[in-house]
Parts: sequence; structure tokens; C-alpha cells
Amino acid sequence: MFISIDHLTKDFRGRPAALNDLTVDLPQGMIGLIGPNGAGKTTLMRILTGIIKPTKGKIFIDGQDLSSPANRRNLKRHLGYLPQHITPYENLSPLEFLDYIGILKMIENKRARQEQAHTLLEQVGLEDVMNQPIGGLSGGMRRRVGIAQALMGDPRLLVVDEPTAGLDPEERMRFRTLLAQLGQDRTVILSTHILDDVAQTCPWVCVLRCGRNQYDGPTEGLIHEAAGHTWITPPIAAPPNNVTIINAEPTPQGTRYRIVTDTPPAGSVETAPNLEDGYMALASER
Amino acid sequence: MAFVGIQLKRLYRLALLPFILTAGILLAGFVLEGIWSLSRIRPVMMVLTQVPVIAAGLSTAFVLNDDPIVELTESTPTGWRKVQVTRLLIITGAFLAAAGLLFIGLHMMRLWPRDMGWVSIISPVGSIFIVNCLVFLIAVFTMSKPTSSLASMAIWLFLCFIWDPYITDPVRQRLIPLFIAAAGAIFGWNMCGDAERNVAKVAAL
Amino acid sequence: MRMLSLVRITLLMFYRHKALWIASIPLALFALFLAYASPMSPGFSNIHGLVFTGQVLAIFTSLAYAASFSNLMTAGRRTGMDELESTSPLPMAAIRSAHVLGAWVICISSSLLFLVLIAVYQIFRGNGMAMLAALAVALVILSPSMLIAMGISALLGALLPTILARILAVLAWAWLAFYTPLLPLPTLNGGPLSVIGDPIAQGWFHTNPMYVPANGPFTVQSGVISLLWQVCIILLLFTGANIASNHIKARV
Repeated sequence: MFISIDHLTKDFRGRPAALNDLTVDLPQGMIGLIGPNGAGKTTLMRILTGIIKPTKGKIFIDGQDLSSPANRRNLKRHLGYLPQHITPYENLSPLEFLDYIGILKMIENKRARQEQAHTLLEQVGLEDVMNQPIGGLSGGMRRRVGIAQALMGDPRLLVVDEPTAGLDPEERMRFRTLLAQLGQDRTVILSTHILDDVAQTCPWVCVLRCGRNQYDGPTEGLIHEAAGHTWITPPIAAPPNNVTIINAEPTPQGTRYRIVTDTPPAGSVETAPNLEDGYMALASER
Repeated sequence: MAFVGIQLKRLYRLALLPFILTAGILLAGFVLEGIWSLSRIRPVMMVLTQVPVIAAGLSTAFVLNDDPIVELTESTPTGWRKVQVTRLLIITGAFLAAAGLLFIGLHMMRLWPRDMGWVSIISPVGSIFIVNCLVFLIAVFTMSKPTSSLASMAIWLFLCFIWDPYITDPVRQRLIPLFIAAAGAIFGWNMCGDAERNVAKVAAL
Repeated sequence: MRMLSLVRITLLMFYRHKALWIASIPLALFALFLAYASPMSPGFSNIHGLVFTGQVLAIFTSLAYAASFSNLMTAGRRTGMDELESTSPLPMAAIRSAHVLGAWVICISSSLLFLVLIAVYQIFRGNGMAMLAALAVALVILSPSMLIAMGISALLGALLPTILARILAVLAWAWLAFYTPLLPLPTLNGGPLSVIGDPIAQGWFHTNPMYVPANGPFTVQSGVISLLWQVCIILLLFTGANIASNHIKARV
């Protein structure tokens, strides 16, 4: 699915515009949606999923204008969505909950729903608890139920908001692999603050800031923003001034900093940038 | 004191509600007194004087449920029980004070239904105390707002339609339910002290 | 078929809502006691008793349901389920209708159980029509009243802060159910627009109404008008609640 967002604006009464004349084209495949808190990521996803309507502007999915109710309804048949905060009905089991979501996604055949639910629950590692009430599951398990429900109906467009929050490292890797597999033949929009997840899975990335498009393009391009500006300092006592500190590694001699800057402290060694460096370089440019 | 202050700050709108209701009912009584005969006003007042009791139960069910920070509170030296009991006391105190004022106002206007003198004050004050104590127990037990609300209505229905019409002596009418309600509140207080139970009820373990 | 599947799964949700059962059974028992102890009670041994019990159940249990369903349309907002359900190609109105039906089935079950028990008692005493009458009372007297109370609660809950909605819903139901036509204020009681089943009880089951009709006894036609009127109110209340709920969600 090819998504074209054209001069999109969303105003909420009494608040600054959540999206401000946003224009961006998103290709098929895995797309990372990143940006600071309040950048408008969740609003964009809610508009993409047809939950709220934009104040101005249009979205075209495979050329179909989403402002038409018929097109919106048609999109919803091929959509999987995982909201950031979701508490599935606690008195249903994961299997029953997925059956419910299957009904909502208009999968008519009960057997097909049940088979899909079984398969997905196995994929997210919940086969042992699929008949227990969701209320009794841990936070991470509930998140996995959320992930499984988003995949019901084999959606062609998958929108997931902070999917790996609360997952253990093993499950996070498993989910990342699953997403990468899914992204081969459909569009997956992954909104997250864990840049490592984006770096590992998304060949395309879109950075939002204050409701505007700050960058959209290949992930490599964003990484390249920090090329020639990423340094590792020698162990020093105090953090360097006027630089963007990416991380700090304590050593017996002092702390070694990874920084993004044009003017590194003496003795710093240039290093190959990663997505975090690129993102921070872009942030410091604004 | 700071702890009570912060709870009061959170609940002040609800604590004002009984006084607004009291003012409304007194105003209605004052206005009706000028237009209707006493025999017509009394049935209206019988209904209106029940409103604070209903509101007290529903407000208590409202403030004692659905708090998102039970787990966090249990991790502090204050504990969840102290929070719940403080909220119960604030709401109950406000409704009791307002019920007292309502009784005094209507008693002086001779509009209080089944008025047997000042002893009749035990009727509204007792009802509120009974309903709130029992709603506290239910809220601690179920931690569910809809169930606590349903229970508050059931308790009020019992008092208003089953108990009060048959036990007419005001002291006997309130004394037995008051003892039962107090026992229920003590039981709830004990149950609410179990931190593990409180957290298990609201958080995924 | 799809709607049936939806209702089946929402029924399962409400069926497992233990707290709802815990509260609704004693509530129905209270109402049953009131129906038995009331000076107007015709007892439990004939159809009149069944109808009267149905009306008392309708009045008193609905009072409590008016207090408890103010979050019927808005609960999903807190859990995020509303957001998820909005992405379904099914209209939200259909999904919410299934939730209403699920809640209603559980609420009516406890009252229906007691009506059926009374009917069984009457069958043993030779009244062959008792079971049919019990089901009819549940369908045409109890159900509309309950749904109206739930609808008032849901509508006010979608429009107002929860606590205010609960109190106002109780007062609204109390006015609908208890306000006597003897006072010079507008009331639906005593007329064909009453929502506590008087026109149906007298018009169809030939029992004594709770409030004396203002314009002569209720007829079969009064019963039909009353039922249609109640269906209209139910539809209006839930449609209003659905619209209000969507409108508020769009502002979030």
C-alpha cells in the first residue's frame, strides 16, 4: 500500500495544532515513525486508521481518498491497529478476544477465525495461556495479546504504536522478526521511541516534530545526517559542553562520552554513526 | 493534615455537592410553601429528602473506585487503606453535615416528612452513615464502580422501601442498621489493609 | 449472522462479569419481597401476581440500573478498546448495540429467573399459561423499562461527568416511575405514555394499574401505543448516547 499524505492539519480545540500542514509519501514496506513526545505521531496514526478526521488536508491510500466514508470503510477491512494504551476485555481469554476482533474485522467463518487466532497466539508465544482470562495475564502477555489482535485478518496495512513497550528482550526480538517478515509484502507503520527497533526493521523512516515532517526517506539517509559528526571522547571527568551527548560509559579513568558535534573535545575519535546519532543530529539542526 | 488537604483538594467538588443539593431542596421547600398546601408538599419532600442519601451512596462508590495509583500508593508508607478511609470520611462528613442542615431547615419550615421532633434528625444522618459504610465495604470487596453503585442503590432501596416503612420508631429504625453498617465498615477496614489483595485486584501480577 | 456472533461474545463478556451478578440477584430479590409485601400485591398465585411482580421488578431494579450504566458507551475510552473498535469496518452503533444487548440479557436474567420460578409454582397449582405469561411480562413490561433506565444512564453518562450522570439518571427514573399524577406537575404516569407498564398490564393482562388512568381504563390499543412509545424512547436514548459518545471521542 502506498500512502500519500497531502497538507494534513489537525487542530484540537484550545490546543496547538497536533499536525501542521504535514505532507509526506510513505512507500510499501516497514516504515518507522519517530519523533519526540507531542510530535503528532499518535494523531497521524488515528487519522490513518480512520478513528478521527483531519481538520484540513487529505490522505490517499493506493490512490483512494480517505475522506470518502466508503474508502475509509474499505480500508478498515485491510487494517490492523495496535493503540498505545489498550486493556483488552479482562474477562475474555486471549482466544475469545481474538475471536471478538475477528468478528469486528468481518471474518465471517468461525472456524477460520479460530484457526487464525490459534496461529497468531502461537506466533506471539501465548499458546499455553490462550484459554486463561486476560485479567490474570502479566502486562507483557497482555501486550502480546494486543499484537496478536492487530494481525487478525491478515491486514495489508498494519499500524502499531509502541508495540514493544513492556515486552521482554526475547519477545521484543521475536516481534521484530515477525514485523520484518510482515513488512515484506505489506505496509507496516511502526511508531516507537526505541530507535534500535526502527534501525533493525525499517528501511524507511519518517521523523515528525511539532506536527511537521522533519525528515522522510531511507533510514540510511537519517543515519548519514550524523556522518562526520559522531565522536567518542577520551575518558574525562566532566561532560563536554555545547555537544549532544548520545551516551556515557563510565570507566576507571573517567567517563567516555559518545557525542554528536562539529567541534569535538581534544582526543576524540570519530566513529561510524547509528540511527540514534542521526536522529539527534537532525534534532540539533532545527 | 497535608494529606487530608490534598484529598480534599481532589474531592472538593464532590464535597460541595451535598450542600448544593441541600440548598436546592430548601429552596424548593421555601417556594412550594407559598403555593401548595402542606399535604401536597409532603409527598414531594418525601422524595426530595431521599436525594442526598442516593447521592451520598453514589458519590462514595465514585470516589472509592477506579483509582489508577493503588499499586503506587501501597508502595508508600501511607498505604491504600489510609487513602480510602480519608476519602470515605471526607465524603461522609460532607453529606452528614449537609443532611443536618437540610433537616434543620425543613424541620423549621415544618416540611420534614414524618417529623417527630429533633430526634428525627437521626433518620437522614443515619441513612447516609449506613449507606456509606456499606458502600465502603462493597467497594473494598469488589473494587468495581458499577457494582458499588448498584449496591448503593440496593442498600438505599432496602432502607427506604423495606426497612423504614415497617420500623417506624426513629431510634430503633436506625440503631440496628447502624450497628450492622459499622461492623461492615470495620470488616472493610480490615480487608483494605491487605496490600497484596489490593494490588492483585487492580494490577496484572 | 455477524451481529449474532457479536452478541454471543459480548454476552460472554457480561456473563463473566461476576460483580454484575452479585449485585443484580439481591436487587431482584428485594424487588420480589416488595412485590410480595406491598399492600397492592395480588400475591403470587395468579397471572395478576405475575404481572404485578413484573412491574415492581421493572420499577425497582431499573432504579439501580439507571445508577450503574452511565459508562455503558464510554467505558472503552479508558481501556483503549473504543479506539480499537473504531477501526473495525462494522459501524460503532452495531458494536455498541451488541454491548447493550449483552448487558441487558444479564440484567434481566435474575428478574426473569424469579418470574419463571413464580410461573413454575403457578403451573403446579394448575395455571397452564403461567410460563407464557411470565415470558410475556419479561418481554413487554420488564424489558422496555430496564432498557429505558439503561438508556437514560448511558445518554447522561456520555454527556455529563459520571457522578452527576448517575445521580441525574436515578432522579429521572424516579420521576418516571414514582411521580404520582395527584400532584400538579407533569408526569407520564396515569397515561398511555407511562414507562412502567401500566397500559400494557391493564390493556393486555387486565390487571389493576399502579396509577389510576386519567382518562378511563387502559385498552388493548393503549398497550400497543405504550409499547411502541417505549421502543421509540429506547431507540432515541441509545442513538443519542451513541452520537454523544462519538462526538466526545472526536474531540479527544
